[in-house]
Amino acid sequence: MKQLKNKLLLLLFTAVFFAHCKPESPAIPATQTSTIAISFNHFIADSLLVLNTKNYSNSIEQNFTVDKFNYFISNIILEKTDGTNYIVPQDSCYFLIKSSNKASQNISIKNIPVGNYRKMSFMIGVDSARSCMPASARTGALDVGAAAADMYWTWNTGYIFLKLQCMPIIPKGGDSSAVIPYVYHIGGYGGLNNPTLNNIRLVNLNLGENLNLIANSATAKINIKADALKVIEGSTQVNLNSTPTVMLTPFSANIANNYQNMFSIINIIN
Amino acid sequence: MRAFKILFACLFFIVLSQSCTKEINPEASFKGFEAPLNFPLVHYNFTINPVNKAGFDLGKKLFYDGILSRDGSISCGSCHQQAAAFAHFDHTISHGIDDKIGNRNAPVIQNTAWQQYFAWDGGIFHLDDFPINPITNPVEMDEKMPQVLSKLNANSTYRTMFKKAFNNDSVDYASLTMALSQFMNMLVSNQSRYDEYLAGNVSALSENEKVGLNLFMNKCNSCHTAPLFTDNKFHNTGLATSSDLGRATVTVQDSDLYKFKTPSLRNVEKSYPYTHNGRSATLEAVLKHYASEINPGTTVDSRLVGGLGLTALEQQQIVAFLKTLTDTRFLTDTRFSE
Repeated sequence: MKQLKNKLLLLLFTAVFFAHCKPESPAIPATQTSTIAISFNHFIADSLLVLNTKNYSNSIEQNFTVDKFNYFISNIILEKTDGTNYIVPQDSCYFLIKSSNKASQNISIKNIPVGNYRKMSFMIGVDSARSCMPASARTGALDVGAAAADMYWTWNTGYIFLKLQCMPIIPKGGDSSAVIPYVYHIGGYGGLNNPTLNNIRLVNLNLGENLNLIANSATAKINIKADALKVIEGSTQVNLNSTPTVMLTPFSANIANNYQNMFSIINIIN
Repeated sequence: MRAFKILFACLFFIVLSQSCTKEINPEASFKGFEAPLNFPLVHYNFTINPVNKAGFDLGKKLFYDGILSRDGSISCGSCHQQAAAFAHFDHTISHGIDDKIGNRNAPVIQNTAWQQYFAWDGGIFHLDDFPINPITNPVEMDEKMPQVLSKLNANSTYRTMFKKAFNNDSVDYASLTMALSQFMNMLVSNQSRYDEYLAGNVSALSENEKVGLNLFMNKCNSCHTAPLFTDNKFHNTGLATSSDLGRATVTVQDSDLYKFKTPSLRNVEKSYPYTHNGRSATLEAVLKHYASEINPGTTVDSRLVGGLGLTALEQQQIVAFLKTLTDTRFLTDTRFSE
């Protein structure tokens, strides 16, 4: 009997010693959430953007093909009809969208509280705080050793927010050796210690009170149009032949002002 | 009571096994980064990336390895040679891959932990983010960063070293940069004859050199501020201008036109030729420029306009002083050698 009592005591102490103290689940119900798929559909005006092979024209009748169209979007905020905001967390709000990578054009935002949303806001580019963080905090879409390798200025530490590269169309029998590509690399987050060019642009898209998000929706989707022609036209008409290259110069602000208006809502699916 | 004894025995062994998993540190002799007591506060954030032996050894191996370049022929050490305080000995502009040349002189690498900006135009503001610049520059190492990482990941020696230094299972950009920074941050130069003089050895400098020191403090120190011998700022020193816009290349501000970073003058005797494109072959030529050859320009530093008016003797004395900034220990320290 004494041996059994000792064994039971040992068992009791062991159980108490090894028992984990788990915090109790909160009594209040968790907020219901859902995922939203967002699709970025690329166009030149009203034509779908097809890289390399399709011919396009701008408003001043300059003809070109497009070989690259990439941009960062980040810092997404969804605003409800009651005025409250859902801010997508920093660890999942940076996306690199590329025409050359169809998968990158379809993003999904998780854990969005259910409700009725009227506006989506985001930044084209990478905010200054993130731009100045050490490399270990710039991973995923921002990893310059991987996803962001060709969207980064190594000589002026910072991201290229938008890249549009086009080729002029050479008429049959024309001289292709004189071809100058049209290269637009727009960046500049405003500087670390001293003010420099700030080409970060904010976009507000009116959802028209059409996004009514229910819990665990498998279908909620926003289809967005990105009109690449609006990079080189808008408040400033870019003459491709006279301005074939724009990188970090004051003129780049004009292009950023143009492409600030390149996004629009195609439709919303609940 | 026997139950209690068994329980305590269990606890004892659990506690003992915990302390036995800690290895006795075999790298106790590696002292890591040591800041000279008379230097200002460091700028580099060592909390995120402290220097340890594994990271330092890895950074050094990478620094001297052509694997970072497209064809394996160019390493950091190709243009950053210890004997020249990690500048490029006797080269105005360095020749990179395929003998291509750029437009800037390879600067020294020393006392990086105190610097805020890197490159002559300060385009990089974090030491970690500097290496990707020469690595991807088509006229330097001409490699793509994903390709560098791919090569390192395919190399079992590097994988082991990275695992040891950063406990990661594969090599990524952040850890590559941190390893190189750990090596570079160890390149501390503070043991020149001038430093000995500062520490109280009055015979460390000759009388002529002491006069030079005084002249330097009056005429040069406001930009080349001791003990780092740089103010970490950007100035237009009245050199004849070219298409190189200097700081304005990265800030796109007219007020920054033709301004370049103040280089540290430590080891300047060994890091010739001088200026951002190596146009001045000797210290004498540099002093002559400051004395009487300042070109006009809207952004020329007001302290230099009209020249410093140094006599030939004064120029010679300043040059004599500058040579006392040579730190032979640093230039020959085998810890940093290839």
